[in-house]
Amino acid sequence: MGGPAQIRLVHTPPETHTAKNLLETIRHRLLEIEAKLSRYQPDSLLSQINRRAGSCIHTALDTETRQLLETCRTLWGESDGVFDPTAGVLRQIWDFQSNSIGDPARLPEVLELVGFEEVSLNHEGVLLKKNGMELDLGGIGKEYAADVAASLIRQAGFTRGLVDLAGDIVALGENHLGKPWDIGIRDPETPTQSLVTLRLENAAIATSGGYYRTLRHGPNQVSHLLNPRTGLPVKGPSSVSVVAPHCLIAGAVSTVACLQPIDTAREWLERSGLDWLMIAPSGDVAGPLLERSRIPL
Amino acid sequence: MSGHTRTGIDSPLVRSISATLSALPAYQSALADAPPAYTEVGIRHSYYTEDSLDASAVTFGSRSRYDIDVTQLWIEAPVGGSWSVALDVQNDAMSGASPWFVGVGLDGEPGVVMSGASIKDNRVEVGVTTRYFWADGNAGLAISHSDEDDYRALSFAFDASWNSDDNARTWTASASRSNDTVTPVKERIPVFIDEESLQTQSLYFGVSQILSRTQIVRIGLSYTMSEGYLTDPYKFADHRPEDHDRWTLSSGYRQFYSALDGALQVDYRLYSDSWGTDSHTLEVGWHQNLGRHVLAPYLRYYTQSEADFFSPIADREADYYADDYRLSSYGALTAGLRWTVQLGDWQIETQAERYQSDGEWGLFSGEEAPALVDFWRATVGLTWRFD
Repeated sequence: MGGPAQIRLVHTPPETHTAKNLLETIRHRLLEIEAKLSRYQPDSLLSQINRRAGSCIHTALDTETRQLLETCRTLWGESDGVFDPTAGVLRQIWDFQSNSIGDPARLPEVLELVGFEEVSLNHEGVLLKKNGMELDLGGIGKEYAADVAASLIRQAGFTRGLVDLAGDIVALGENHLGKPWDIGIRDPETPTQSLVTLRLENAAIATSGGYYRTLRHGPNQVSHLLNPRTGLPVKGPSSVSVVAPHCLIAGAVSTVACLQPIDTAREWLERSGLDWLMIAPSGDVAGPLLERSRIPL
Repeated sequence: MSGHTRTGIDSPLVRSISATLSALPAYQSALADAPPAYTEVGIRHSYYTEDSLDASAVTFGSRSRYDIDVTQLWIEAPVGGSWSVALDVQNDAMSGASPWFVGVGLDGEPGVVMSGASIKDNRVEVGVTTRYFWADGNAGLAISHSDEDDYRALSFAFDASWNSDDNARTWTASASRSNDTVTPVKERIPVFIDEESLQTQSLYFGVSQILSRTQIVRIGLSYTMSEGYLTDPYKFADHRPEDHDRWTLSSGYRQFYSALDGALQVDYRLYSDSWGTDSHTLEVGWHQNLGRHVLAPYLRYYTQSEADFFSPIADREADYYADDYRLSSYGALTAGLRWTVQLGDWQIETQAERYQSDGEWGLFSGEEAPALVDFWRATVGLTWRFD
């Protein structure tokens, strides 16, 4: 899923065998989700949907994928189009993996392929109406996988553990010391260090930001976060962390915040009714989570 | 989050996302306090039949007793992201005879005089429950109306349950009130009242605690207070106090055994009331998972002491008196088996149980009533869930 993953379980010695089996079950389940929803795997359901873009053939959906797409539609509507899983085609202009910029003159043409309103989602399945459109569930896929892992842990009867899928985190109960889990929020300026540490217990946290994947455009470093309406990199917060009951909600809210200018990001975050922490490009840190964080010495 | 944290439950944005997610299994266990993700429709039918009385116990009248057909229909559906509404309808069709009074038989022993085999009655109960869910709990408000030839009841109930931060502990509280009206049908057997009323109020508080990933324990205390007409109008020798206070302490323990893929269930209930009746109920059951099937055999033991004003042949000179076998001291055993199978969106359940009671099986002393009941009960049900 494009990043390091770790799952920790707090258990008694007699539960070691069960815990190992559970971790194996979770690994299989996460690989299953990846095999279905990854745009990098040609056999995935998502790749099949993308290959049929512009045809008249709906791709049949299982319940899980359908509900995730319904969630995307809800987020797209609630965010006034800022959250848009069809915006991935903008990589044709801004290729952050190869650190290169394509032909900016093609931007209007590529923008024609962006817009969740061109996604037909009905009882037959899903269809991208225009040839060349692509779906990318990167905005919620990893966060969903973290929630699935946490759910499997709870179902197995374990109440304490930590799921960390490349920064999308679910904290269950307390750590092995009987205390809340310490979660570090990266410093956008020096991503190997934590700027603040939060104490988390029975909650999820997700962080979005434009700092760790950038490319140089003229004299500037530009963020990998792209506005789906303009197709241009966003000059928004460096990083936004959101705490929510579920990682998918935390991730979606933080992603939408990062795709907006700082003022509108703040309004969006307040609207969510969740606790958040925003780090501005100036280095200013703000948000309700700051009151409950610890600045490392 | 350690300390107070905002969950977004008041935010239409988060509620809207949560409502979409609630259909996914990963959010159903965590969102324990979320409305059902599906609409559920169910039907269940039970047949209850009491054994005929021994010839030696009957002085006069039919030996056969009650048969009851119970049919239940229900539908429960989510409404928006935080509410559910349920409608329950139940019909009880009763026929048969019941003990009228206990007199002295030809052998000098107490003998039952039966009411005759002509009693037929039908009861219809309709209930509506609306429930609100928030992140850590849910609360329900229910209203139900029951109507039969000689009895009407209107009841209201409120309940709430909420979870601890780690979801390991759940508290539950409830309160209910019922206003009943008794209007006995006079053509059956002689009755001496036209219309009487009864009010009943009840309170409950309980807590369940997950002890480990394989153990859960619960305990609860309830108090019920009735005021009004509590006498059975169809019994010749029955005059009961107009107040009835009842206390019940209930507890339960579940232990899951991974290697067996099954769970042991042990429940105990202690009951005491202002009429002098105390009772103990102990139930032991086993739930065996077998793929899509669950088999659950159970055994229940019940024993109670007699009410202060009970005697096998009622003393009608006393302030209060009754010869109703349900107020005598006795013991009872119930053995049953439940079987459920899940077939996609459908669930089929069946259950059969045998109940037998005997004055000598009880732990309390007292004279045995001659009309103690034994019965069979069989249940078949079908439930369908859909989006």
